[in-house]
Amino acid sequence: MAIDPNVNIAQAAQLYNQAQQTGVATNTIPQQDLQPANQGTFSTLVSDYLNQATQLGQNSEQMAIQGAVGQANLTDVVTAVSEAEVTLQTVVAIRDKVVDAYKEILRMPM
Amino acid sequence: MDDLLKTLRISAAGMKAQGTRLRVVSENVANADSLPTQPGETPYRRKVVTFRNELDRNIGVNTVRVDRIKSDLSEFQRRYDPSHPAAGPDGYVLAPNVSSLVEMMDMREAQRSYEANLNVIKSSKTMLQQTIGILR
Repeated sequence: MAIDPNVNIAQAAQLYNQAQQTGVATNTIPQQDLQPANQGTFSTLVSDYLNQATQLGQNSEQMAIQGAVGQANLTDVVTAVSEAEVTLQTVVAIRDKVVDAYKEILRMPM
Repeated sequence: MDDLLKTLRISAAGMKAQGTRLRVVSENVANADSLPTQPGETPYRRKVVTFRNELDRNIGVNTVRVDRIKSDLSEFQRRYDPSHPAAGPDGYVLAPNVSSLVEMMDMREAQRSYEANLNVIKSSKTMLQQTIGILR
């Protein structure tokens, strides 16, 4: 499981928040989104999710290895793998959404 | 942890319990003809599985687990077979208290219960993926 996207997405989300604060993209964003209480919460959410996905992925790999050696129950392996799968799908969906939003901002006439 | 992810764990515990039950059924069926070797000895005794609910403290839900595998204390069958080494003076041998009909029913029940748990897993997984699908 690659950890590199973790950093990039967190950075992207941070930049997005900075852009919001400095008013670069204020045209498209409603005013109520600029509450100071929400600063950085989105990037935290994304990185939390990614950490969880990484952990579950490692867990599922470990279970798969144990299952291959014959030490783990097949049901446990399947459960661990599907948990990791679902979490990874969530993270990927969120990342796609973030990247889309970022591209949308880049396409904006300055 | 998400409720739908907890469902995966709970159903997996149920499937594991039914797996153990099927194992015990297979032991019973395989040993249906395990007779004693000497007069006075007892043959194979049928085993039964009991289930119990258990609080999984990691995720805070009730899961199922196999409580104990106990012996069925009902009476042994008697088979007339004077040539058998374990036959008594009257020519009868004690045979295991395993009834293949009961074991078949038990097996079917384990199978259906396993399928039910599997369907719960399938549907919770579909629900999760449909929810993620909203983002796309």
